[in-house]
Amino acid sequence: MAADGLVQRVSSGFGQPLDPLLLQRARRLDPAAHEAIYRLYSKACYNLALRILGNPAAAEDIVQDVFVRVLGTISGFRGDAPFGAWLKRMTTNATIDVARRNRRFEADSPEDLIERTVAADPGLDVAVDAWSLLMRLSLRERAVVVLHEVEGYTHKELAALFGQSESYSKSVLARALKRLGVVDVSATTLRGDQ
Amino acid sequence: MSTSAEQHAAVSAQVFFAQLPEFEPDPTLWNRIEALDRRHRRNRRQIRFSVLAGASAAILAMVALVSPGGEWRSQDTGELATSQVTSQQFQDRLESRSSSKGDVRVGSDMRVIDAELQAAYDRNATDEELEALWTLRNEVLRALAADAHPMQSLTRI
Repeated sequence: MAADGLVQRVSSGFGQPLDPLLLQRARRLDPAAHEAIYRLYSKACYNLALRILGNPAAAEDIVQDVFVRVLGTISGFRGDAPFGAWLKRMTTNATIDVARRNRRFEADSPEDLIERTVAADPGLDVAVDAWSLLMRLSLRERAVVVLHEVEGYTHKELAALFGQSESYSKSVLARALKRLGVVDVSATTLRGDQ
Repeated sequence: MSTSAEQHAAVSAQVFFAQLPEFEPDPTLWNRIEALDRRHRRNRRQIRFSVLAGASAAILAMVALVSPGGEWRSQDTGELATSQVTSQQFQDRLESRSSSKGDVRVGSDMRVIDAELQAAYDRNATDEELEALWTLRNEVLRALAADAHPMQSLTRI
């Protein structure tokens, strides 16, 4: 199970547990604790935003905005929800807001992006292919497919997020998966989507 | 699609998303965030300080309005208050005797005393200084009241 109680088939990094002592130190505005939290979750934030927006500069802006807000409000974080879930919600909302304002981002070429990855591995070609396919989707399709398939959002949550009906979200997802050449049947059983 | 095919497709979807590369944000991003956070904290502190300073000023202004003398100034009590009441009584008596209240004339002595009194209040003068001026004013008013001649205009403080 993911941090927010949703089933996640692909770990997105938001599910990593946060040491309560680290959180306590961060609440007391300890700069080292702030940095440790950033190191733990920034990659998840960045990849969520980048997969949807397809633009590294825009994704970095999202990470910056989200973390500045997190650091400004962390002393009041009550811990009702897991920290990762809270951060994921903030990142998702910020990304969707930016996507709404900028209908079309110029996505960097997959090769350029892959070159920036720290670790080179033998599966780079596969990664480039997967990334290229994802970037061929429209911004809306990418948002739905990434949030549903990677971040574990339900259609109900997606409908609320986009201000659309659940059937709209389902139809966007089905179309996007078809364009990616994959069919998702497990989502309905795993997450209880109707 | 058969069940086994569906299961295969589902695995394929899972595999597909697992293949997506993960990128690292710019290494300098944390420094930018930290600098922004510091700036925001500084701004918030300045705003808090301004609000506190404003609130303190407002409270002081309220105190000054409610108590015109202010804490640091002597209260108009005792002899000083009595002198003020006496002065007002003399002034009322003089005005009631005047045939033309709006056109009453006063001598230059009254003007000088009233100006001195105003200046004394403006500089938060001591009770003793104020008392002396009020007493002087009362003397002049008493003299005018005793005089049967037409009234001279009085300058109210």
